[in-house]
Amino acid sequence: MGDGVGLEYRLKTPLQEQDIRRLKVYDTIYLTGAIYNLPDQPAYARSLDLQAKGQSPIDLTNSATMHAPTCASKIGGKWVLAYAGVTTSWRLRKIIPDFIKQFKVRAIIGKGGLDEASHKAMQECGCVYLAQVGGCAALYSTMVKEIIDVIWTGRMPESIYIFRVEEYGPLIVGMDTYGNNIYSEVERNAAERQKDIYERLGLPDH
Amino acid sequence: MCVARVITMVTMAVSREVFVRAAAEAMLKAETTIPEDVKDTLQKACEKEKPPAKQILQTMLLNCSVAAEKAKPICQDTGIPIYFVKVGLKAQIDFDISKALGEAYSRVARELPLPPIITNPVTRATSLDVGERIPIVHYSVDVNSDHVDICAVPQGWGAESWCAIKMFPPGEDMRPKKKFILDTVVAAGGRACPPVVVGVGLGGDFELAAKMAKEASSLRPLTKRHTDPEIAQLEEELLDMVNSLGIGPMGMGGVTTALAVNIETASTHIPGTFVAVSIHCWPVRRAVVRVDKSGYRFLPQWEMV
Repeated sequence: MGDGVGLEYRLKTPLQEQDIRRLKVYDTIYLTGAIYNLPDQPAYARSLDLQAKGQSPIDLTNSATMHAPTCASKIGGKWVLAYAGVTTSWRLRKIIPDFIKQFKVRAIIGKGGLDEASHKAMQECGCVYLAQVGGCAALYSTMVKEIIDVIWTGRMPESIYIFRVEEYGPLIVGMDTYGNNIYSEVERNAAERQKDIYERLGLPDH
Repeated sequence: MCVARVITMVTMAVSREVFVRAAAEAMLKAETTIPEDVKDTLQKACEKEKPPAKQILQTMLLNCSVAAEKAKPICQDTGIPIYFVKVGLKAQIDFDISKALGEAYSRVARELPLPPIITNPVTRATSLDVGERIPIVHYSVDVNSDHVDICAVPQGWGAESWCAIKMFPPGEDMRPKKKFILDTVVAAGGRACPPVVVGVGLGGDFELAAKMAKEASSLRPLTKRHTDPEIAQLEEELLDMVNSLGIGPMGMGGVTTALAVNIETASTHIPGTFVAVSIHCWPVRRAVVRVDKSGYRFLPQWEMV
């Protein structure tokens, strides 16, 4: 799976499937263009529900999306970002596979990785998992130049924020379309080492 | 004579307004800066790592500089507010401390600003700054002092979600307890924003074990080991074990899965021993302020009684 060193890419949105399929785990991405931010589960559920009814207000095909709880306010008719940062992707694992398949999004930006079903959907549709560094809202927010639009204003987790970003990164490819997954690889290794430790302690593992 | 006495009495008391300002400043500092011991530990970890762990740690440190410079929150999960309060019994206080802390948090919520995250556990309705028993306040007393120490801890839920507690039967040595601690760290994996701080509460009752774990992860500086050499050695041993797992920063591999393992202990009952594990995310947000009759000042760390 490589030695932890990848290539560096500067990508513009909308993303192209062939470019995405070229990316490999450990590559570092800096994104310029638009990121569609669905802060939490309710925004995903609402999008999928409306898409099924043919009433989706936005086209997410070839987009980069993320799940970043957002603090923003409307000042003089314009949305202004205070800060936003990614939340744990794992909580969204039940809804992400369907989301990828229905919308043909090309990148999911999050932290901590996703499950096998999500990874399968990525490989099938041509989408990658991009890891933002967690707990770094202050830094990543400086790369959001503007809030282009907010769809479904109301409670933050139900809204979609469209950010205009410049050189948004670093984003590390954590799961690629070749079937490589840094998180599951790390977890497999950790389980092996755990076994060694328990053997040394004279304990049965799990 | 009478006037002089009145003035003396007024100046002896801790001012409520100063107290509120101090508690608000502490929360603001905790939200926007990281403690020096955490920064030092992250920097040292950075020197030991290769990519991508090195790059991740560098990004974390850069984020902290940006947050401090722009007075912005380090993390979008600005956390449930917790205040540890140590009241000197010689301090003169004539106001409700919990209410004053609520007012302090309310100020920060409006000024920074913070998002409305305080959630009713039944209805799931959210509020910006009002909640039942919010901020969470942990009181202790210091018989000899005439000041009040406050530690503000904004607790993010990415890490808090992985805390665990278990009762171990008597007749077992430390080995299954070590396994439980390790299993808890593995379950959290990359999802709790590692490198984490692992706080362990060993002994006591259900509540004290959890409280000790929380204090161990949130109050104790990362470079400080337990005063009992045997417990200190256990801390070192567990830290080595955790870091040998290779989970690394953000779960993407590396030798820094935890920045520290801090253990607090208390005597317990014959039929069993509680082990509580508190997981804290990498910024280990906390800020300590001391308030007395003449004003307030920040302290580099919390002083255990």
